[in-house]
Amino acid sequence: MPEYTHGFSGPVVPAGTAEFDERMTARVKALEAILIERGVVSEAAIERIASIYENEVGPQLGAKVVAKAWTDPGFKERLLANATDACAELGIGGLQGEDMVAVENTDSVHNVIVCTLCSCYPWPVLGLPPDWYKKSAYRARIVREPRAVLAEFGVRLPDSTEVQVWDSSAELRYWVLPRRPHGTEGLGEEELARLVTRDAMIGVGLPLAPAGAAA
Amino acid sequence: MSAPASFSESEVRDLHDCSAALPQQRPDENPFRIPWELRAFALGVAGHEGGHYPWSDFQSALIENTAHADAAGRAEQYYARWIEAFEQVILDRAGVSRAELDDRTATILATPRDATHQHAHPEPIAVADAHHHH
Repeated sequence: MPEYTHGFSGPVVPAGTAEFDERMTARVKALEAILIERGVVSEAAIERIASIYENEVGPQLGAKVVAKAWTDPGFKERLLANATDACAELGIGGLQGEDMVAVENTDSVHNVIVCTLCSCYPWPVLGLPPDWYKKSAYRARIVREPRAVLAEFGVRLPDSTEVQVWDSSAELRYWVLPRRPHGTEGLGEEELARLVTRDAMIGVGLPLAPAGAAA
Repeated sequence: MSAPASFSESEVRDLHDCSAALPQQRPDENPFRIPWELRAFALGVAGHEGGHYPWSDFQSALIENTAHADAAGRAEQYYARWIEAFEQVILDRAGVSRAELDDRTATILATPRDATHQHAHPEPIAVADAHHHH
């Protein structure tokens, strides 16, 4: 499918080709160089942000929050009342985390999140979204046929379970508080956190079973 | 003029190492497919952090560009939309014209690839002839 680099006075370049990436690389370098020269942004700021989001912010932070909610009923109550404030208790917060809502999976309800318009996603707890989350196939299909999409991710729910699909936006960003797996009664927060996957907090997966448990 | 910003060789190596450490992931699991996407992401956040635009302005531009691209059936290139949105919110505010940006992009594209040492050099790049003494 033809693609061209917007605003760039060059030929149409098909997306997914080396030439497309070469042009986009040049475009981004040009933007960066000009804006640094003008003092609009600093190279240090760009390096810092790239490093933080590449290496530090990720679903391991959300997993910590989930594990705490599983072990501390008071914290769970605060998390469900105001996820942004509860995460701040653990020092977790930042851009795209200003208005977070955690939705709880129960025996009767399974939640899953999407951003139908673009890619709104709670960065402070989940990191940046995977590519498929940003694709129109997921954005459209999870709304139309959530059970079928969940099955493709390997999540098969009983018919008695209601599926609720939550649309994140610039104003409110949802994420899922999964159910604590059976057989984890003796585990501490750190061990529990290792069972919490990114997909479980998106709602397209379930937490891992504890080691030694029947699958 | 400051040095042109680009990924250093060690940064590129790091990015490859990060991907290699996750062999079980599907290719579309990584947030960044290739270095320019991470760089584009960081620029968008840096502009906001620098106080040049409210995040909501950037998001509105991103939503608008994504909708246009979806409607037109254009190939899904999330970070291309991201860069379009960034240009929309930053160029006027920074006093940068699109023509200037196009020119700089063309200059970078015209720079010989070998200048960045990204390509193999299979032949010696210089040869000093042997001196034969008779």
